[in-house]
Amino acid sequence: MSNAFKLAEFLISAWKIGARDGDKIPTSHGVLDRALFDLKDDLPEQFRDNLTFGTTRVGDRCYELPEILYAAQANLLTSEPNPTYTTTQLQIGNEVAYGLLFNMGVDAFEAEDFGKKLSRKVDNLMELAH
Amino acid sequence: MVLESKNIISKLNAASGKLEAATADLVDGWLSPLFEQLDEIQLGNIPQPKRKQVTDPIWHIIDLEGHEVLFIDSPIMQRLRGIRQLGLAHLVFPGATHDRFAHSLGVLAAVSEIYLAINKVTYNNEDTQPTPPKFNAKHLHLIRFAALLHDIGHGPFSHAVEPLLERQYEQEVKSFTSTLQNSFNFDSRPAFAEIISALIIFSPAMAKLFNHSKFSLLTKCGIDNVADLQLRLAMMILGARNSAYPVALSSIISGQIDGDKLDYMTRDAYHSGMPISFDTRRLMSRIDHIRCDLDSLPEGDEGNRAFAEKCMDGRYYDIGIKSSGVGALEQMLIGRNFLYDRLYFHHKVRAADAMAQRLLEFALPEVEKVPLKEIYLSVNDDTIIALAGGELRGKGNFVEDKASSKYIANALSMRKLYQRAFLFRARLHHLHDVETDETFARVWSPLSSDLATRQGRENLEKAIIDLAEKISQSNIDDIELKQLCSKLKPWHIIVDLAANRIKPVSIHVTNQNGQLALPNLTFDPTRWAEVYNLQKRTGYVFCPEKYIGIVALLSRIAFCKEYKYVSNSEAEDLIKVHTQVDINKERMKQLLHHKIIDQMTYDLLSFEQIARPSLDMKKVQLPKEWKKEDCEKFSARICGELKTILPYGLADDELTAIEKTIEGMTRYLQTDLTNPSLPRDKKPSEPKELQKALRTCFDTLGIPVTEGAEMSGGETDLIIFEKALIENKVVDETDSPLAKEFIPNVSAQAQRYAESIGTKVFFTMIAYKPKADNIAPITRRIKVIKREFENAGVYAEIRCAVPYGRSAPSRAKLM
Repeated sequence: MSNAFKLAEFLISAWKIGARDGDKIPTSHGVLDRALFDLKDDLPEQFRDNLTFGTTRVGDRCYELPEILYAAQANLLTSEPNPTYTTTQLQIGNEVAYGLLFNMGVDAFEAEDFGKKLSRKVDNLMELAH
Repeated sequence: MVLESKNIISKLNAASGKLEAATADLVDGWLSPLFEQLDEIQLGNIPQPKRKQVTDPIWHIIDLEGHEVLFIDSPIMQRLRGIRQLGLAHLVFPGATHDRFAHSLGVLAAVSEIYLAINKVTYNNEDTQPTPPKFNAKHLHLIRFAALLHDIGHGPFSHAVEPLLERQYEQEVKSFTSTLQNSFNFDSRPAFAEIISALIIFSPAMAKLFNHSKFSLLTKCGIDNVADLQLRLAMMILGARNSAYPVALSSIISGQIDGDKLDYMTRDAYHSGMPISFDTRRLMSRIDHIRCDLDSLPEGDEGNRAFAEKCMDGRYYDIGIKSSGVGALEQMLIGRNFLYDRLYFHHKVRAADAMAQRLLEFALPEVEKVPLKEIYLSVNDDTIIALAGGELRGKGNFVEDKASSKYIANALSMRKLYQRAFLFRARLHHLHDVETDETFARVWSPLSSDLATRQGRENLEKAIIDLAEKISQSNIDDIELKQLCSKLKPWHIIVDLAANRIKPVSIHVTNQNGQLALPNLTFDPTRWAEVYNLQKRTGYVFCPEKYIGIVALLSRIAFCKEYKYVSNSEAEDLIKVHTQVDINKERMKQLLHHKIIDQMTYDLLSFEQIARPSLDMKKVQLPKEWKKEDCEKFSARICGELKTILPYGLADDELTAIEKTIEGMTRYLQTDLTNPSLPRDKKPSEPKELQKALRTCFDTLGIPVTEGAEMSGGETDLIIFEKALIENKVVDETDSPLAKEFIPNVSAQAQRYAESIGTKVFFTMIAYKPKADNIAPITRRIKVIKREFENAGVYAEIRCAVPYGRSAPSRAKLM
């Protein structure tokens, strides 16, 4: 649980500063789970061992992701899910994102690069799904 | 496919480390009287138990088989009578005295009902192709026994103590889970109590029981070897799935709509007196036995499709819900949410649970891992309180005569629950109307993340006590305050922020084409529940009633000091604080004067207007060659990071100097890209070459620069607008000139000069020889570093790096 909050800060901040559309993040149907699985070795070292993956009843999932997304909302980093429930709106700007990363001791450039990769991976997966 | 059960059990046992032997030891003791009884039955001295019925407030009549009666009457199950289902909630809801024993019988009844419901679906679909599997009496025996065992791994106070055990045995839990994943799929990682339940089942004593001819569970379940029975029971409890076993049976015990949920929600609501009802009958009547194969599973669900291919005939069956049952499902999810909010997370219940945790933390010996036998005592929760508090002796290895555990145990026994002295919630910060959620996340997010961990809460509790100690030992004139502070002890303070225990429910629905999908809900109760839960997510600082006033004051100060969080008056109204220790200005001035709080804390708590602005990068003319997006990100980064280091802002003249210095430094770096100022083929002979180049740039921009001023026993390099300082340094080959640990002496020197001119920000320019020809973009050659100096406090260093000795400019990486 504890790591979920730090992971939430990292994931949302990295997405904000690195993603193509840094205002929304996909939160359903396993898209983000799959992207994180593919990029788990690119996570900063302090987070690398914190994500585990498996096949749940409703598909391949990251076990920690529900907690992370909950933590992101709890920390005011994202809003409540939008009516379609496929994406969630980010509530923080670049400045707050950088500040949170700095506070955690995460290198801003490493986070930005991860955010970019994650965004590209999500785009690829969404394209494949369609 | 046949699983090598013995092999898997052996691996899981090995992965669980010390837990395996500790559990086996416990089970030996618990089952010993049962073996004596079985031996007597074998000898014909006593008869085999017959079927029995028990009455139950939820299921009315529960039928029990003979072997179930035998098992239930043994210490292994009877000990569950002493573990209340809701921990210490009965201290708040007097009717909530039901125990894990009654709940376990209830789950047995519930799974029997679900079994009937599934079979009804199956019989109604007998003509469909392919025909769903029919479950028989053997399957029923199996799931009923799993139901009895499902909570066998619980320790005292139910969920209150789990966090303590999970922290101590974190590695074992991780290792067990990872080993489990090699052979099984599951929906979420198993809880500590579930793992203990599994280890209990794997124990040699349980194997002996299953093998006993007079117990006959093997025969009843139609399983021919003990290891297979053990594994199947354990996996059902863990919610683990393997293609060798019927998935639906596992789901009945631990799934999205399982026996556990159907019993505990109704039972907890009933006993606590909560008027929350669940349409259990309707829900069960809408249960579906869904076919999962390549035809029905969604295209993108690769994991489950691969799983199906491994199953017999390329398919498995699971528990789903008919689309007409979605309403009953929604009702369950919404009702569950109210249960959590009004019952499990009631502030007094939370206080009691937190006190129970602290009691054990204080009373147990300080070792890395407390042996399970010290916690899994065969006595009830109330007796454990008395043992831990020293009122009773003779069981357990509790530390004797500890003031902390005595105090808390006595408080629990006398129902003197700690009360709320301070409340913190995301949107109850006093500046929340002024700041948006976006900027307030800067304050709330680190606080929320820290206090989500036990360590974070412990640190804050210590900070509160340290404050009390500092005040009581200081020379302030406020005698009343000093006296109040001197009475506080570490065990009087509990910081609590409830963890999220509500797991999402995701279940398949079969659509008209026979395809499986997640329910197409226009209103998703799980998401709604999350939102509801989060809006109400509240943390508290609890303490004994007589200290509320002083703890409220100290908490207010501590939260402000550590996190810049100041709660508003609505927060105080919510917890109805009756006694106040006034936070008047005079008092705060004394604390400031005696250096117990700093200026920023004083200003924030006094609600005085924070007049100090922060860096405004809009005033900085960044190089016109930069792309707009890069300018925005660079500005956001510098501002965000500076604000984190110096949240109190800066004086106007400091800001002007910093803005102009950033302007000059970025311009210098940009110009240097195409027109290198430093030698291409060698190291600059003197640092003054670098300084001269920098100075020229600032002069060109018309920014006033002073060079070589004498200060603090040395000579500075460059001072901008009399308030910003640049220290220059030329180094040899390196690929990390911006690393915090690189040339710290330069930073230390710069800090001394910065202190002399009264600024908290200084700049360093490092000329370095890159190891490779690939040079980072300019924006990545400027970094903010937090520096902390003993006796001098926190400073921000803005470090820039300029390469020298590189090849021709055209091969350099341009922006």
